[in-house]
Amino acid sequence: MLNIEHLTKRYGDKLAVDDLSLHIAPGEIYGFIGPNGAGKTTTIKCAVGILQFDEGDVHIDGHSIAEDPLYCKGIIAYIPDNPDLYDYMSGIKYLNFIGDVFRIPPDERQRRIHELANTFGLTNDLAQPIASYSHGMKQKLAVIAAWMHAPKLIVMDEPFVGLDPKASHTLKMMMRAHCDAGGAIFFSTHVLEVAEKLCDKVAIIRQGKLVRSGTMEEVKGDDSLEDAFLELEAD
Amino acid sequence: MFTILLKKQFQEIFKGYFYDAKKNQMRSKGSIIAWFAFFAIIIFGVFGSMFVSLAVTLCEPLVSANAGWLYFAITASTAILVGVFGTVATGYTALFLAKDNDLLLSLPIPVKDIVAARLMSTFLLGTLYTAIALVPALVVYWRTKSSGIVEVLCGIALLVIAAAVVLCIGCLLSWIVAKIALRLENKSLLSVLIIVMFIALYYFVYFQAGEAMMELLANAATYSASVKDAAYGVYLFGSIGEGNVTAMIVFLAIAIVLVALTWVALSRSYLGIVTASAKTKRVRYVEKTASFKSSFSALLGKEFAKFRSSANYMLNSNMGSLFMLVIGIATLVNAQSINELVADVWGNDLTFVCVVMCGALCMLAGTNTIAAPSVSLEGKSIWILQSLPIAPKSVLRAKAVMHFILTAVPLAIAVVCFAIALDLPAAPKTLMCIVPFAYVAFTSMAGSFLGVKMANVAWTNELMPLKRSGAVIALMFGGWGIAMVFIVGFVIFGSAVDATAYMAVWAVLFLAIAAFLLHWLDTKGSQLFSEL
Repeated sequence: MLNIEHLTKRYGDKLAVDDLSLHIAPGEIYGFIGPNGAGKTTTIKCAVGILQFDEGDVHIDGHSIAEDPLYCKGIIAYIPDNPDLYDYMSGIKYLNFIGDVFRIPPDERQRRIHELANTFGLTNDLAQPIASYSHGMKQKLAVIAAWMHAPKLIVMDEPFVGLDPKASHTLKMMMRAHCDAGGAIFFSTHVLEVAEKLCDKVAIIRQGKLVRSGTMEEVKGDDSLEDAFLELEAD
Repeated sequence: MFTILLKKQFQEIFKGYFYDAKKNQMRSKGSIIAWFAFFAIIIFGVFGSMFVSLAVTLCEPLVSANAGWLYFAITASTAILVGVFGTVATGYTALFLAKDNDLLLSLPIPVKDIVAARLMSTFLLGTLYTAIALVPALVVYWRTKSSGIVEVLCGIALLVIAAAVVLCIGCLLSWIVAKIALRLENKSLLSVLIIVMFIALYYFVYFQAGEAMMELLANAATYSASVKDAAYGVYLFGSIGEGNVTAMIVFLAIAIVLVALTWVALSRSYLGIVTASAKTKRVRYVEKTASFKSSFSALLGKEFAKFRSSANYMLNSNMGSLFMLVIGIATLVNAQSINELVADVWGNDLTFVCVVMCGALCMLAGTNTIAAPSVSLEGKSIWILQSLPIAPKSVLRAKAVMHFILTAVPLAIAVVCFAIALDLPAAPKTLMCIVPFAYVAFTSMAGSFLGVKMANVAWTNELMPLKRSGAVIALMFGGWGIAMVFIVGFVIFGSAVDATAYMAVWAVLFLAIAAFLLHWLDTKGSQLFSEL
């Protein structure tokens, strides 16, 4: 579903991502972990077509994000680490904007908004301006917008930050359900316990380079993911 | 603590002079000096010279009529007005909307220290604005009537008193604005209406002031005696400038009491206001099936929603629309006198008038800069457009189309008014009505072009892309420059070229450049937008 091949991204002289390759198959929840400044967000932004990269390629469902960005963006959803949404819109206007862009038919759109907003307890706030939302409410709205158009691949950067325990639990359930239905999820997190329980596969990145990747058992062995991560950090 | 807070306040006010937000780095020493020199030239050179001229006009006749106090009453009142005008906006922002209110209130700093530091910075800014208007008046007076040390000291005291009054009025107005803001729901539209009313009032006073001043100077002695009888306090206030020490002590004491009262009143209400949440009406969500829009319509709707939400955007980028409406209606109302004037002056060459009027309409339309800041205004939300399956060219086109719609509608009203009001030959008059729309097509595309070419999405204050961006300045002055070239070109070549043909050529030229810019937006502009 998502193939990152020899991705390299530089900011001036600084090498942010160095020859990184990852393969995420349908049905997989793929965790992406690493210390601050390791290159996680840069990799994610390159993968979803927000950042241009210097070398390598990213294929989504067999299409290159560099050559066919509109097709790729049409089948993915992206949630950034900080959900800076349009403060001047209400929640429902933002969701309708997303619905229009993804050409979701009105009836279908209404059904999905109803279902997802109820799931996150956001229905009563949908008519309020986004400017009045808390960080967690904005995060919930971003999640609803992401799931609304039934994407094949969902890419998320620190999706659990700001969510309350119930919403976090709901999101984890939704992630599992999405992958069980044949979709794929690629997300970064600092919460290693979540990654350990939720992910089918995990990749650890440090200073832009992939230091370990594979199934959870391959990466952590008999240790916990936290121990494996700290051990790699100490090297 | 107070000094630390005051230093921080001034770093905040002048941070643009030290730090280049676009390059995300500190400015060089040379650049800092250049910025401050520019500030000094604008403040003291441009505005200061205006007040020197006012002082020179008033001083001699009033002093000769033994009404020096009236001279100071007028100049000090003007200075207070300038000071209040200059500080009310910054005062409101600095006192009640400071972004670091939460941070400072969480630190072990007494609220009264925070208020005192904010008040002191507002006072110093107010003193600067007041001095721009009052210092020229004092210097002109000291030169006109040879003055001793007492007059000079009293003059300085008058400046301090005026600055204190500015502080008190500025704080009172800021406090009222803050109180109202907590209750308002549709702040943007109301802000626009209030500011437009202020601008109208300003121009009304400006045009009336000239006549009133001439009348005053012609009958200085009579007016002086009447005002002194009717308002003795005004006489005392003005006489401070002439060296009335008793009046100076009395008014200085009043000023100190007023400042102390302001400080106490603000200290008591400050915490309540800055920590209160603005009133937001709870809107109940009612589920309903939304009508389906195309991607482009959705983008256009988004652009209009952004425009409507921001009073700053509406005021700074759309003033041309207001001017077009006012001038169009004024032309219609004064049609007869304008036609008489035109017949008297250009009776033999009415086609020239068509070209000038056409150029004037273009310049008015060129005052609108809606598309230019729109790319930068995406700010931190730009990831949404970049991650959605939307072609960047649609985004840039939507911005240009919004500019076109918001400018073409008031332009159409102005054009209809001009067409009805002016008695001009039919063929060039028709072109006079058409060319401005071609010009707006060009400026709309140019706005998007400059917007993406000179984009800066890393701003911290919305006013940066709206007021201080190269794109806005280039579009406005470039647009005006081209409209001027259009007029001057006819002045030079008008004898050899038919006015109708001349305007038709320009219409084609504007449309051709617009088409070229549209192609650029669809190709290179889209690429640039993707890389922001």
